[in-house]
Amino acid sequence: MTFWSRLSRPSKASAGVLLGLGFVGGILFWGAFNTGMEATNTEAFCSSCHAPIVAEIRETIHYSNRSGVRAICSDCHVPHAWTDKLVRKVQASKELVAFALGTINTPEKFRARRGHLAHREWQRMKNNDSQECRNCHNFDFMDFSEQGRRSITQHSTALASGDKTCVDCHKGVAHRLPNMSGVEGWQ
Amino acid sequence: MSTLESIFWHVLGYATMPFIFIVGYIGVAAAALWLLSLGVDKDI
Repeated sequence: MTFWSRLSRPSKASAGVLLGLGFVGGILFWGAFNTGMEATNTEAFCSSCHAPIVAEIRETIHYSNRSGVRAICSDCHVPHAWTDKLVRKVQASKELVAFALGTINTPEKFRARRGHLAHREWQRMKNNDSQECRNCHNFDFMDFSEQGRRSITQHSTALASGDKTCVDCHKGVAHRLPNMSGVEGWQ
Repeated sequence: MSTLESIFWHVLGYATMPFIFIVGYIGVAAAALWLLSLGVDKDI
């Protein structure tokens, strides 16, 4: 009997059994799907292509600090909201092509391309008002008395008014900077 | 990323969601039918 004819004819099983199958099957499918998607958010997965960049975070405060809180790649580079995350994952399918072509599979190729990659990421974060920074750093709870004079000035004016967003100033907070010539505000 | 590229990826990304739901439905239906075929529905 074909799949469609089985699907279109009434079952002998009770409604409760059918509903139970759908309920349990739905949970299993959704769990497996999300588990698979989360597996692509791990540092080990990111390192499989971006090992040189992942290693750089170990020298920064986002990896090691007095409080022991740390960020992994996906905390900053993958949106946390489910729909936005899925869009980013679909977009990342293009990166599989780059992996197959070996676009950054040597240190020389990576160095040549890192400026391009950094600019793309800065632009993405500027477009979403540095949402991935704001997932942890909440402007409303910033204690200016704990900040330096320059930080207070910038945060209370440009950031507060929305003229600037986090990534406009905070570039290279977890990685080494690429060639910065031509980047706005960089001296 | 250009505006055109952004539109392309957002359309593709949002289109993926119903695709996932449909694939999930078909997958769960196929698994459920197979399970049922082992028992009460075997003689249909």
